[in-house]
Amino acid sequence: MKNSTLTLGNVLPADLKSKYADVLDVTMEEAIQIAKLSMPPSSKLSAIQVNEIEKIYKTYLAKHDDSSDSAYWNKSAADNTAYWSKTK
Amino acid sequence: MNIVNRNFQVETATISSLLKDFYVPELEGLIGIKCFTKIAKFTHRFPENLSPFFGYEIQLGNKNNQADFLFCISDPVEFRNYVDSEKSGFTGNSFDTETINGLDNFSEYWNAACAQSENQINNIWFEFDYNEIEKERPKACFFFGPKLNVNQLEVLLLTERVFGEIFDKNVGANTLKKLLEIVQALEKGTFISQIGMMNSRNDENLRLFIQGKKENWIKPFLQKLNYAHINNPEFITILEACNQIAENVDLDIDISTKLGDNIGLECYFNTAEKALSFLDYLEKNKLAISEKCTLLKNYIVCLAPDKTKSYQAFFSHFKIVFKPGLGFNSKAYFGYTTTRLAPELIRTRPFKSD
Repeated sequence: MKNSTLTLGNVLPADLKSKYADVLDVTMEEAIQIAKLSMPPSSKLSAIQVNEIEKIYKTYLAKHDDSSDSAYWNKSAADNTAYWSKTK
Repeated sequence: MNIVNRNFQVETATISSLLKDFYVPELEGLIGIKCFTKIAKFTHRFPENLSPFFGYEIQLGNKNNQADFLFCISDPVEFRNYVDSEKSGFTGNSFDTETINGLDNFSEYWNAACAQSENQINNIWFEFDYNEIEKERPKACFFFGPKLNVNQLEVLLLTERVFGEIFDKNVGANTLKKLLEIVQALEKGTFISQIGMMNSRNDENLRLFIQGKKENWIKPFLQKLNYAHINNPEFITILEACNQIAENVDLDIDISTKLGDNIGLECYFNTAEKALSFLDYLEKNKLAISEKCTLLKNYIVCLAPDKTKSYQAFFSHFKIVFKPGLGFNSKAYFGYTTTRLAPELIRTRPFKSD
């Protein structure tokens, strides 16, 4: 897939931009590598900046867990099977 | 799965052969033979194993007997095999050349991500408008379903890359910023199930399908997003009716740097009886024409599960699209899914049981 030039500064809302002004030029790709994969940051980033990137990443953790994926509709697969199998 | 043709030759079963098996007389009024023949010809290049879930979209507000065709792919290996066969020219071309090159790169990425247990995509959907199916190299609308446990920043990056790769479209940073705002505005239990681009309509906005498990969640959510037409009385009336009759109402929105004006309400029902009562509502309120309603009712009534078959025909849902200043469009979706997945995917219980 193509490389991205998207930066944190491109997408963060105003309040987080002012809070984390020192890391706005960091690309999203690098931010994710640092925060998710614990990859070493580029040399220009300080320990404080790395810490800020990790905080930003945590702010945007998914609100759902894996188990949510199994139910396409609003019932679990088991519930749906039971419902659908009921006789009229 | 393979099938034996009249000359006793073994052929790979295709989506086309399944559609033909299921083209019952009750469907002919909704999808005319001319339209069906074109869809059957077009889908001949898609092997049955490629899609566990596919079907039609029909308009309820006009008399035409045409349908768009949609299909879902959830297995990246099957998709990779299909793209390989497309590239070799074995199946004939289903997509324009630029798109097939993009799909090649995308399918390689999807496969590799799965192999490394880093898959962030549940499934993908293609939608072909009927006027595209008629063309030699049809353009597709494309959607992907991000897994629900993916970090929201990663969803942005994924969105930028998927559409950049497949359609060579640059999803702007401000559009992605809007996407992040919307994801942040979602309450627990509400999630984006699909992110799409209506490429064949030359529309570079993102279309978001948002599923909500709570009742009456759409109005407060749109208020939170400062939707410009939230106080439109006609819209509110329709939204309330959807909430009242349907067991589940999901939301479609379009975004660019701002939230689009058009809103889609996807209405799901637990029983065929409920679906038909909603159809009555659409007809009574002139959101659907009587002829189409009668035809669709006849089709829904004839649906019956048959566990001896490998696929099941089913009614999926209705969608009402609100276009401020232009009114409403209503559509119906029905299709086919594997018998194995049927209990999980079929929401509307048919009248008949096997």
